[in-house]
Amino acid sequence: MTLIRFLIASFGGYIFSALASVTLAFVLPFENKFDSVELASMLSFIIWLLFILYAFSSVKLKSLFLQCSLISINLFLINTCLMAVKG
Amino acid sequence: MEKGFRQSMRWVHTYSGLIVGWLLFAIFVTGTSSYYKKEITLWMQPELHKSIQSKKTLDVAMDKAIEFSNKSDTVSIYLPDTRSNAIRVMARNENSSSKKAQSGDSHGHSHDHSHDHGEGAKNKEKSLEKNQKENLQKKEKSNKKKRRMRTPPKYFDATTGEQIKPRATAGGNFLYRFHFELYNMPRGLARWIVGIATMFMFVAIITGVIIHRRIFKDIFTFRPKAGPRGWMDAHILPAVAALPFFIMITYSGLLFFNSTMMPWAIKAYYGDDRIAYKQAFMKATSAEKPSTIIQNKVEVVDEKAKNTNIERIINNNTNRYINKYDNSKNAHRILNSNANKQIAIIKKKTQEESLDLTKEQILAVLKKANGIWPNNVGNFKIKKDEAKKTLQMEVYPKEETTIFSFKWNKEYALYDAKNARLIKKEVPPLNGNLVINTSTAFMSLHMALFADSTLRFIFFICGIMGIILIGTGLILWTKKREYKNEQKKSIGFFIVEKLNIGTIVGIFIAIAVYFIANRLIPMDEVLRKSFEINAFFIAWALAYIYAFIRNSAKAWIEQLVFAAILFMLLPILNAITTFESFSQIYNRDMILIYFDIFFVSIASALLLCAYIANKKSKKGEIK
Repeated sequence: MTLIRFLIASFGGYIFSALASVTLAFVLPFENKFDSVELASMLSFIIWLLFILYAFSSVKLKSLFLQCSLISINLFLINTCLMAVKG
Repeated sequence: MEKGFRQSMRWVHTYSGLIVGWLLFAIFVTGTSSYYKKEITLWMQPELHKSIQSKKTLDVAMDKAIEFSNKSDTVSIYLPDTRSNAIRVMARNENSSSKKAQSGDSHGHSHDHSHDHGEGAKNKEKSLEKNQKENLQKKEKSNKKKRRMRTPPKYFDATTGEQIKPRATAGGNFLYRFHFELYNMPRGLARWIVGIATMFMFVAIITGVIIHRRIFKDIFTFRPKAGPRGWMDAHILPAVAALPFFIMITYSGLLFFNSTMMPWAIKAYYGDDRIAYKQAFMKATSAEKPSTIIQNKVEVVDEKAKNTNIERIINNNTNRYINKYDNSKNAHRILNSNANKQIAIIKKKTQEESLDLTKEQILAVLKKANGIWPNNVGNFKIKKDEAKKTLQMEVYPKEETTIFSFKWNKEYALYDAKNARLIKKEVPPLNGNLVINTSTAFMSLHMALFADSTLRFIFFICGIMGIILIGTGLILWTKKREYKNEQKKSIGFFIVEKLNIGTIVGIFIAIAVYFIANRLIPMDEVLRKSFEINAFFIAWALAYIYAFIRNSAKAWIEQLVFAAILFMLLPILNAITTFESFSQIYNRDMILIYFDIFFVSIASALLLCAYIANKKSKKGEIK
């Protein structure tokens, strides 16, 4: 069980924070787009960290998995839309 | 709920620290020593030790500058400072093809990318961008080529000006590279490994804060008793004392791996177009308004106008005189003096056009730079461009005055060497770009390049705190499970204990052996650089093997004593191999004296550890 939690925290967390960094890069309201990209990747490490802490808190494994995958899929969809609009 | 959260965090803290603890320990030891990277390299090149800074140093440096600038286009002269004691010269000749691609920018600064974006038709801007892109592409290629063909620096004695050929050594650079790229590994993979270890460290630090209740009180708590309690205090004390440093060093460490580990935001915007990304980066880090450059151009035009004005006035005057008096003698005299004046102007012009540097010119520039950074002029670079007929000098401060002065935006002043006129002065931050400045500040803090010797020493001490933190953390894991293990032997405990010995003491043995190898391997050995590095790894591997075959308690003591002996040997070995006369003990550069002091103190620290371990193991036996 711990191993699965660890896998979700590391790989799931990585995917989640990577997707979140892309969303942030598009959404952050900086004039210079390089700024948003930089800040997004700076924040992504903190997002990853918080996700790891959350994954090892008293959350149930099943709901953790569901939350992680649902949020990631949502972020992915949002990113695709944003890419189409902005990129 | 609250209790559950803390408890689970305690578990995360224990295992995130343990899994990569050994790697982190090695990274912390090598990384901390990298604060003195230049000094270590200097120590490992004893040929340079003889060079001592004196009043003649500047004179010698200027002679070398003139000598090299006659042969090469770009000459960098590094004056000795608190971290080095010889004059270092780097001369580079850029052939004409690469010069075109570089458009006058040879060192990675971005001043040629600061064109005005506000006005102009869109097409023009597009074509400009296209041009820039092509330029950048060429530049990247030529930069790569340059990196491959980088000429090694030449060293000169700071007093006599003799050329010194130091022995081949990786020096402090090996330790520095090891702490983020390990060794003999694909660069990307190694960076990923170190990055993941850093992430583990980040998790361990934050969970450590969460599970900790009395943060302030514990700064003053140390109960040196046997058993886990004493180790716990020894673990918590440095952790709490240097907590901001740890958070800074891990987070900024992660920021260095930004483009390796988290390239997705960059990829979303720029795709695989590295050049577009670099361009955006340059734009984000360059100055907002290229005002100084424009001003300078105007100044030049003004001067030309002034010169023609003078000529016109002189001519007018003569004509007037001739008309007025019609006195041929007088007119001739005036005409003559007029001709003299014109000759003087032409002379001045040709002098301005000649690209030969004189000592007076360098001195004039350095004097002016001294006005900007009093007693802090570090190195200067002479840039000759024969196509443009310019001779410029870049002057850098010895110690940076701002934390924002980093790789891509160094603090410097550019002078026209012919007339010592300040062309521009760049003191970062060049713009009010919050995000870039923040991340630059983080990285700058990590490397402490801006720090003077005091602050660097504080960083070094904080690094040692980190070493103690990780070391005691690793030992604590075994101490807590010692009793349990006695009841029922477990393989996990065995491995952790042995790896602890091999890593914690092993790396110190390895570093000592690396230093010893530097003095013992013959000078004319072709592969001496890699021999030194091999010695480092062989010693480390032997420490692991010894730890696995020997009884743990004894292995601890024996290895600690062995490491202490090696470090004690170092000052003696140094004296035997490098000293020519007895007076050199106190007559040499302070850096080298500090090295001896450091070796002796680290040896005594290791002996103290051995003593404590010995006492504890005896107690255990009596029990």
